[in-house]
Amino acid sequence: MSSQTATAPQDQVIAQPVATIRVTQVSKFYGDVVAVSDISFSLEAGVTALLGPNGAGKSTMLEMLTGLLRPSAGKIEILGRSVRGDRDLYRQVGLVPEQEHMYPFLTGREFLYLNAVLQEVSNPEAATQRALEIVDLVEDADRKLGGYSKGMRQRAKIAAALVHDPQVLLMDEPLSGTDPLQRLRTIELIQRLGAEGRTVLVSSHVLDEVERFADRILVIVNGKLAAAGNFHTIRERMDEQASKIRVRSSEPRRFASALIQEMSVDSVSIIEQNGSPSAIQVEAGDVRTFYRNVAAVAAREKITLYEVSALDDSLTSVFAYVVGR
Amino acid sequence: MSGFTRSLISLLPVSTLTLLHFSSGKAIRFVAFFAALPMIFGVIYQVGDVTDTPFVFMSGVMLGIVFGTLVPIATLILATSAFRDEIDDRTMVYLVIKPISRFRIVAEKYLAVTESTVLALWFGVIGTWILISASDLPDTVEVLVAALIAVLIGVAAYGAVFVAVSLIVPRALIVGIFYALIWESLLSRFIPGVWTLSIRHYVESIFVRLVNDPDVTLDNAVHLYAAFPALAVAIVVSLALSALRLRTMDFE
Repeated sequence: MSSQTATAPQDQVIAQPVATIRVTQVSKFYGDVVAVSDISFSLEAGVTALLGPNGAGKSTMLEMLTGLLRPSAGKIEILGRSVRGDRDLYRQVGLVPEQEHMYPFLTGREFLYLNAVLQEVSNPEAATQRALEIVDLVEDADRKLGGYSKGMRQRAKIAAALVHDPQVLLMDEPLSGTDPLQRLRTIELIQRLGAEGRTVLVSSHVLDEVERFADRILVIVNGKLAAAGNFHTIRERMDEQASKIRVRSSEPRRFASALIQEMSVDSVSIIEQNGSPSAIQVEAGDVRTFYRNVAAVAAREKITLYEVSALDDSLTSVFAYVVGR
Repeated sequence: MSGFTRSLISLLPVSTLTLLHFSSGKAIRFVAFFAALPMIFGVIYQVGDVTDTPFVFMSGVMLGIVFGTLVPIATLILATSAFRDEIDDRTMVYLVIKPISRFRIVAEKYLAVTESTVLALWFGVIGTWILISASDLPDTVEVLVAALIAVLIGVAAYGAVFVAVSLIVPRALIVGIFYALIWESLLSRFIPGVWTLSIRHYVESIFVRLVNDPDVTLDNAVHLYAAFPALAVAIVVSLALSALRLRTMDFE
């Protein structure tokens, strides 16, 4: 993805050097329901996150990218070849699917060996061992997949996608179900794969998770490409938007008076419960500055802070901003 | 991983996967149950007051229950399970995003269906033969050989057709049961010409022709030179349709 800044949805001309993935005006309909609508983008080597709330169309997009689903309209190319009907292309593509089901009767090693054989790699045994080592599954390799934890299954899926050393890697929610340590390792692995020059597209609905491994994002909302570009630029723009925050303190009225004098605060309203003030709702124009200063203001006024929570910090609201609503 | 499993996976990965899937599921137990059913007739023959010779009685069991009911139903169970289970739980993804042809996937799955069902049914047929012919095994070898060949061909034909049906029709099990029990067993008896589209009739014809005994007969029995090609065409067309369907299918 060559663009380094946030762009309006209509302007995603992000081609340039050597696009390994090129999506041109792709749509997917199910009867009257539009799952993906007229999406275009191109990706180069490196890690890109496909971000969007649940049901936004991320998995549909990934399924179309791997040829599992046929687009209703548009064209998808990987390494300059159409993904439907070109099975040799799968030597260069790895997919970590989202679904939980695997083959419970196979051991981890058998599962990876099977994938290596199906990928027709020259030395499936060595490829299996290498993949097991990459995801740190060597010790549990001879246990049945049916006895694996969710995190271990996730690692087995990643290993299966890497067993043939693909140039393009598509990962659907790969951090889902992993423990913190494994999450860290998976993030490091994703970063390393990107640094090695592979094209890695990782879908996620967790904004903070994405920030740790991808510096470029594609944001999909309601099946449409809402934004594409540099992650930090988009995130900063999100942060610059007015945001609603609820603050509970020992003295809501006095704290409201103190906060309204802050430059970062646009408005303050008192929330009452049973006729008495229970909290205040702040609309902050500069969220980052507000969060930085709120504790200091409370300390200065000698007011005890009980809670500071964003009322619209859900992904949906963030994406709503990105879409421009 | 044992060397044997490794060798099997290396040689026939999809077949091995399917066989392991069968061996860990419920479907194979149903097939084993159906395969063992004819042995009840073997017990009846031994303890009951049956006047038929073992040759004729064995042939009657094969024509009366094995070819018409057990072969199609047992094959249907595994044939519909071979693809449908993996499509439903979405593990098909691990097969279809590989650089192997869709025809190979179909052929290997078909092979797994055929060999599992044939082995189970052969076990039942041999057990029945031993029970019926306990005191006279050498004289009834002909009927056993004919039965084993007919079962093999029947499973091969039903297997190919039902694999295709499972990929094309959402409720393949119901369609398969309708075909085996209504179309082949009921309609083909009363409506002239329906037998020409009945696998059962060709399989029974092959059995009767191989047995070649005046006491074992079948109306409109087809000659071997017609039955074999007819079933071969059904197998080839069904496998080709399956591969085509798998190529155009969406996997969500």
